[in-house]
Amino acid sequence: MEKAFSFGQYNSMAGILTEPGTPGQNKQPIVIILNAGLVHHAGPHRMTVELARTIASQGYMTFRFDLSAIGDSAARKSRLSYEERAVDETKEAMNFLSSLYGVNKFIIIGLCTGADNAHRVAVADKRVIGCVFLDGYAYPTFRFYLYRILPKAHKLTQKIVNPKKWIHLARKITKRITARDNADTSEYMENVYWKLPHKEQAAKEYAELISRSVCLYFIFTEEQILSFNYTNQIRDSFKNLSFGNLLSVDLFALSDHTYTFMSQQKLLFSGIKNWLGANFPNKA
Amino acid sequence: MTPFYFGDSKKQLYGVYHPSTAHSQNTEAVLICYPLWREYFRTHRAITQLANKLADSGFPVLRFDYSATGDSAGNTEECSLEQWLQDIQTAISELKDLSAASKVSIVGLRFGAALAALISQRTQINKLVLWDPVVNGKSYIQNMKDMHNAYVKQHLQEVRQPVHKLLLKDNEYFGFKLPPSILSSISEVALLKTKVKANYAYLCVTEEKPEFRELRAYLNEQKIKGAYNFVESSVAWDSVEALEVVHIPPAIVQGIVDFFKNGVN
Repeated sequence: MEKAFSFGQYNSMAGILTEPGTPGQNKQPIVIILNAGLVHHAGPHRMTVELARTIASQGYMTFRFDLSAIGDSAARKSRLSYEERAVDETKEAMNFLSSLYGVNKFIIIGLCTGADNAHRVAVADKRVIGCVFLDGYAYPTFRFYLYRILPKAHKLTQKIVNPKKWIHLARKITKRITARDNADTSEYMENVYWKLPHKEQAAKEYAELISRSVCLYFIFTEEQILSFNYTNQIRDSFKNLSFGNLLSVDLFALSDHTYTFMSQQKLLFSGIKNWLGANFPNKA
Repeated sequence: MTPFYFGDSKKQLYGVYHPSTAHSQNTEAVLICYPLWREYFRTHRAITQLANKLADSGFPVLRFDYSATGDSAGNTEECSLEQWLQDIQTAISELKDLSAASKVSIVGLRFGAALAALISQRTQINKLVLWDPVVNGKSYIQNMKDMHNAYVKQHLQEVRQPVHKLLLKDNEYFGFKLPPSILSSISEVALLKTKVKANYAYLCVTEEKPEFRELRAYLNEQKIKGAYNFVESSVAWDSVEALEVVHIPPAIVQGIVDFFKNGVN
């Protein structure tokens, strides 16, 4: 069962709540799915609708909504930047849901700029206890460059008895071209995607999320190969941070950025379902 | 605008109602019929803008998702042409209730235009706007298949993968698994053989195609008073390169609003 709502300042925002097929635990966190770029709340290929219904069938109330001036939400006059508005308006969604259901715990899912917004909301609001970032932030590491330069390296390292010697040799080669690649990657991230926060800032924000025990699930597609190419890349990027069991990462090697292919959508849905079940078990 | 669900509670339809924001409300209300699937997402913003402009001009507007599409109930695999036509009738009733309008007109885009033409045989329609209509269902489905296959190959080249059996599936088109029944129903749709009934018709297109000229002549043959508007645009419905383009042709949107405001000269 789904319900459509107008909410927020001037009741100008539109959102749809998908209720669980079977009632979940009282005060179970509510899952909020953000806009993927400018695509309205149904999501690319109707994926957000299917995802919301899949999650709800597992017992989690799920809410998808449009930020102002996207989809079915009206434009607002505001002096705030898009990023600031996205945070404020997601907080309005959480306030609205809290007032309706008395729930003060939320899990945010975002694809593309939605992942960007999910990160900011999680940092800004302590009611967020979990985040799923679909093609979210990624920072290059030595291994990232290695795999990028030598596409076969990943397979080779699995076979080498003593990878340290091999890596030492590769490091010499890659040092010469790292600077050039770094420039390429930064340009790509700024122009095609979003402005990647400075790594130091991201580290500080992840530390804050870890201190609050926020569960983080990063899922990357093969189309993000210019920024992410192996599943341990996030842990390697932030070696000083103890993510422990709070961090989960998947790389879907065949998927495009918006999960156009059904087999990849199934993988995504199953990944999120399993992650939710493991980290936020429904005790109903 | 107000988002809401309506219709049978077991098959609820998602719609957004735009009441008139002008000083005086027109006695004519407008139902907008979306295109399908990939094209729905490309045009959602343009249609929302059209609805806002019509409402600002005094016309109450309802836009809604057919069953098993958008936010309406049902899985994509349950798509049915007959159900969509019933949905349009349900939406017309809902729009009349909401607006208290005495006349209903329909704006249909792409396959939404074909559905609007089909429903005109069952329900009285005042004005019928056919925006880049799908004239021949068979060609439309074939083109969708060709574009999907071209996209799969292009994507696999980008990710340096060989042609992969996981990605090449029958009846899968741009993220939608479509039942064979809907593909065959759509294939049977031919506007040049469909008896269209409306007081007025407005054909607006972004490409000069022979089929649009034929459709224009066909509407004239049926003695429907009408107008024709060609606005050159890069919308490229048949191009795999333009798949991600969110297209808003302002001249088309304005042309439709003017048609409702000024009628046929």
